[in-house]
This record gives sequence, structure tokens and C-alpha cells, in this order.
Amino acid sequence: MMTPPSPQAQLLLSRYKTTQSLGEGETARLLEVVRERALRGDLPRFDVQPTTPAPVEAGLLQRVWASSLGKVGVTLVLLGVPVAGLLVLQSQSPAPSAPVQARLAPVVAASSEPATAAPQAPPESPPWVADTEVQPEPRGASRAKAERPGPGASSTSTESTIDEEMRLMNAAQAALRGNDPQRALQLLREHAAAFPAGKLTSAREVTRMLALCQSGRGEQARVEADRFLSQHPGSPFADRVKKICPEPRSKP
Amino acid sequence: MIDALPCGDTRAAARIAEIFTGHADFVWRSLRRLGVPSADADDALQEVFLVAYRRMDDYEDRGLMRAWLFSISRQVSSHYHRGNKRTEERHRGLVVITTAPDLEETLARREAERIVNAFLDELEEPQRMVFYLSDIEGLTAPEIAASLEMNLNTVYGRLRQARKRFERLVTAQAQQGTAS
Repeated sequence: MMTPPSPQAQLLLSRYKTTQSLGEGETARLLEVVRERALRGDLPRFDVQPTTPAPVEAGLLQRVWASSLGKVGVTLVLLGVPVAGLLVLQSQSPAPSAPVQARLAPVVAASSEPATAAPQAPPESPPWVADTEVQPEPRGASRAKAERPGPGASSTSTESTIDEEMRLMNAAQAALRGNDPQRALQLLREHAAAFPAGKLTSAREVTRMLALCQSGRGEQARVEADRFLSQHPGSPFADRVKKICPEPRSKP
Repeated sequence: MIDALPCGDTRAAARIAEIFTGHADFVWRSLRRLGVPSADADDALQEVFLVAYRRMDDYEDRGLMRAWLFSISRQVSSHYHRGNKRTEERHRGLVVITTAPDLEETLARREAERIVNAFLDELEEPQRMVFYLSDIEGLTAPEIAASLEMNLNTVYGRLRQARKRFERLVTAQAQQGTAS
């Protein structure tokens, strides 16, 4: 009997996979090229003789995972999608829980289990989400972005708060990407003033360290990094934070 | 017999579009994992699907589409020079990162990318592809056995070993995270 990957390993691998994708635009472009070439009668350049794979009995259990992959859903976040995420995600993305659930059943290696052992449906929520360090948003909150608030929606204030948080954070990150760390720092200060206990405080702190570093204030960035690490030793960004502005950093 | 299919077959083209939509990412990643340099990956991807289009009639739908595509990818990849994986792996793949939900998730994904790439790089070949197909692509063990033309028990054995190593790495990472 094969042990499935631990929740931590699954999380890591799922995250990894989101980074290894063509992206929707590229997929669409390449599809168009392939279709055009196929219809035009282009021949493959290489003489490839594909072998039709021989079937081995497949446990349907694994298929549950398999079927969810390779779709746009890949770009969706894995765990309860931090609220903010849905704001940026493409509107056609399905509710986050579906692909998340579906990828939770990795090869469990039921080597010779009959297909009838297949589960009927994935669990309501991923069993390992609760173990992750990234806190999933409350269900209501995470839905807030996925759907346009209808007239009867009651979570609009939560939503607008998150919107505002995201707006500031996105602007700060954009400033950082545009090599304008001063602007980024200013936006982060605004964020800190407006949302001292917001949803994105860790993100704010990390962005701030990056901005400090970019603006030549590496020493301060490292001080803040050390503080962050002592306060959040288990943060998923701990490793990243350790590497912020590394050059002159010397271990005692 | 490569041109068994007449050109301009719109039905087959529609079918290939469907297959492409469902599996382009998988094929693209597989090609990269099989050593096709990032500069050639798009080209190789088109090649795989052109072969698939031409060979569609040979394919018997027994639920092994990915294994079939992988088999084509494997052959196609052999026509490309292997890239320098360590430097190449990072070039592509940031596309989706830009649409990550927030900075925290973005950073976590980058970290995951670094860790998993490093792990895959150091894994020996017999285990690497099995681990990749199983735990990253989500293929079933039978699908992997078909893809790699490998005995099912061998798949399990290699997967078990690779997972064990990966778990050790994950644990070490976690300890490192909390130690500092």
C-alpha cells in the first residue's frame, strides 16, 4: 500500500504546478497555430511513431485527481484561495473549491484495486487545508469576489474592504515592479494605516522589505526581515524573507 | 503513413482543439521535463499536436490520452537538443505567477518552484519521471506504466522511493523554517 504525499508535500507540489503553465493567452495562441497548421495540411517535421498505450487497470480514485488538471483551473489557488486572489483571477474561473478538491487524491497507488472502489465524490473541503500555514479565508469572504454581489448580498462591506486592501497592495507591487520603491513604500504606509490588522499584513511586510531593499535601505530591510522571522517562524514566506537583501548579510 | 488523415479535416481539427485545450499544459510541461529547451518548447508542442492530429485514427480511446500524448512527446523531444535544465527551468512558468491571488501566494509559489525544481534536478532519472507524472501531473499509476512502458510494480517502487525523498526534503524545509 502506498502512502500518499503528506499535506505539506501536496501543497508544495500544487503550488509548483501553478508556476509551470503556459498561461491562458499562450494556450489560446498556440491552439490557433496548431489548428491552422493542421487544417492547412502541415506535416509533422519528425517521423514519430506513437505507440498506443496498453491499458492497465486504472483505479477511478486516481482519475478524480487527474481530471481536474491541465485546465484553466490550474491557475486557481489551492487552498481556500485567499480572498484577494479571486479579485485578480479571471472571471470565468470556477469556484476555487472544485479544482482544489479534485487534486487532492494523488496516486494512492491502489495497485490492483478494482475500479469499483472509486469514491463517489471528493470531500467537501480538502482535508489538509487546515494544516496549511496560509489561512484560508472564511467561506463567505472567499466567495465574495467570485460572484458579483447581487442586490441581496450582505457581505459588501467585507468585499469592499478586501477590494481596497487589494487595490493598495497591487498598486504597491506595481510600483515595485516599476522600480519606484518610494511610491511602493508610501502605498504600503497607507495600507498599514488603513488596515493595521488586514488580510494582507504579511504580504505588506514582505513587500515593504523588498521596497526597502530596492531603495538601497538593505540594512533596514534585513532588520525587518529578522523581526518578521522571529514573529512568524512558520510563515510560508519565511524562506523567501531570509533571502531578502542577502549580500552583506553575515551570520554571527 | 504519416498523412493518413486528409488535410482540412475540420472534425479532426475540432477534436485536436479539444485535446489541445485539455492537455496543452501537460504536454508543454512534459516536453520541458523531457529536456526540450524553453526556446523550442512552443515548437515542440505544435509538433506533438500535429502528430496527434495525423495519428488520431490510430488512437484507441481507452482513457490513456495523456499516456499517448506523452509517448508522442517523448519521441518528439528526442529531436531537440537538451537544454541546460538548471538555468532553463526558470525561464518560463512565471506566466501564471503574475495572476496569483496576492503577494503571499506569489512568494509561496516561487518558493515551491525553487524547491521542487531543485528536487527534480537531483532525482535520478528512473524516479524523476515517475514522480513527476504522478505527483505533479496527477497521472494514475497505470497511466504512468503505460506512458513509460514500465511494469506497474516498478512504477510503485520508484514512486515510493521518490516520495520518501521528497517527504524528507519537505520536513527539512519545515524545520529550517522554524529553526531560524
